[in-house]
Amino acid sequence: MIKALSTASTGMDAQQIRIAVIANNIANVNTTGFKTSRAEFQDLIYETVQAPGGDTASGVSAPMGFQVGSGTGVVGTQNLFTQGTMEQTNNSLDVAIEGKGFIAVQLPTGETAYTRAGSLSINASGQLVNQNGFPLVPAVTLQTNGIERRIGIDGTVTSRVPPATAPTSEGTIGVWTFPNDAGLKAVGRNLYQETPVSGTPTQGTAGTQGAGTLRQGFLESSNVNIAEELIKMILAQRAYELNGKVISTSDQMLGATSQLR
Amino acid sequence: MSYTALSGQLGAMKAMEVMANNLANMTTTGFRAERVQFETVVSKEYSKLSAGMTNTDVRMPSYSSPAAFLGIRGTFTDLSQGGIETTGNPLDVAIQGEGLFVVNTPDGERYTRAGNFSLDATGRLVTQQGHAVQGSSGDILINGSEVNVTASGEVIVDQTQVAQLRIVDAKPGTLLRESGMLFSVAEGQAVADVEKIQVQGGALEGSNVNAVRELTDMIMASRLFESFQKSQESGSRMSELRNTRVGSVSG
Repeated sequence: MIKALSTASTGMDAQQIRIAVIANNIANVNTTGFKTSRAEFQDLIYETVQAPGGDTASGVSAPMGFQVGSGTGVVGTQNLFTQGTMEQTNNSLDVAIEGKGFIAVQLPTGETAYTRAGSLSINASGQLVNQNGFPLVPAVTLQTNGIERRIGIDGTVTSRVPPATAPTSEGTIGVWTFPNDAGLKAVGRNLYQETPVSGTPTQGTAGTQGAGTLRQGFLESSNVNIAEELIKMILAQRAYELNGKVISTSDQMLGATSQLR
Repeated sequence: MSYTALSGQLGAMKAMEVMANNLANMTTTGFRAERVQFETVVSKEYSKLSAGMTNTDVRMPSYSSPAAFLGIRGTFTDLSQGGIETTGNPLDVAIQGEGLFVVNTPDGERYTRAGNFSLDATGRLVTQQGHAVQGSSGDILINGSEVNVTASGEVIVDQTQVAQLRIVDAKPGTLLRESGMLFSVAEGQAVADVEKIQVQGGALEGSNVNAVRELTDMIMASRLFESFQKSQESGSRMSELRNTRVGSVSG
């Protein structure tokens, strides 16, 4: 009976984690470039009282086994890198990636992080930086007094410095791809970092080798589907209640046992 | 008497544990419910009367009833279809109808119904536990940007077919559960490849735990437990009366 109690508590724990993940998704519904996450669960160790096909006392092999599980546990949270909706901003330094890939930025620690949020701006030294002020990798230094700045779908940044009439190139925004996006580690601030399971990043040119293309004047909204999250939340709440019910029923049985004499 | 009641109580408790596991995994992708099957174990006949003779060679007029115990014959996996929800994630695959995905684990070939796949660092299609999903020609490598799984289980990467998912079926009652959403087959049993594969890409199959059924079974188990409790108590009361009343001289 103690086992039913602990089994049910793993179920309640699991639903609690599920709700926490859903809450984070809903909280970030308006976060540019945010990718929805889902908690993945698995069953735990089974107590095999009798394996199927095993011998029963009567010497006949059993047509079925007898296994009792011990609940559920989190196997991980998976970020889903499906495309978010494109929102037109008309800001010349906003870029959205259409398709696979990330923009890389350099953290103050020297490490590289990857993001889908393309609301860029210019820092004091004229470099393109992301919303946190981290410079892009590879760095793109803009010309002072450049006007009519264009970011091509392949990531090339150009602007025209009057009185010149032709635009000149300022650099290229790289699009980085990973073998396994879902293996990236979310580190907050809309940034992801490489892990052993994500594989090593490849710096590609936008639009080639599987990398997505860049869209100037657009931002990618989060890919959180509110209706779906709410349904999951209702399910999680009910599942939580049911597991609570298992605990109370087991407790009743346990209580009755202690009354035996 | 009291042992019959005890066997019933133990059975109800075990059933409760199985239900607790089902409900704990009610939202686990690809989880299959476990069902308990009870049986009556006839343990002992009080007097062997089929010969119809007693030691004094007088035919007894009636047959003495055997003591029956309630036991659990075993548990089996309910392989019925779970609800399918579309997720839009290209690496999610749901099986429609019968069958199990084949995965390669350090312990050998295992089977799973959980289609929430991912990739590993080398681009292999793996389960959440990191086991490589098997196609008709081994591991499935995905190097590309656009992944699609067709209704017949072909894995299409950038418009090129790279693999065919392997789906197998096992005879009922031969599956053995392992932790981490895996099944293995019992010794001496084999699986057969499903010929007419029906899967859905970008969708996940939830667990097939039916909350209403589990809840009613749970109430049944707890009531069963209580009634065995009552018979236990009345048995105990009868013994008490026997010990105190029988043989006592009245007046």
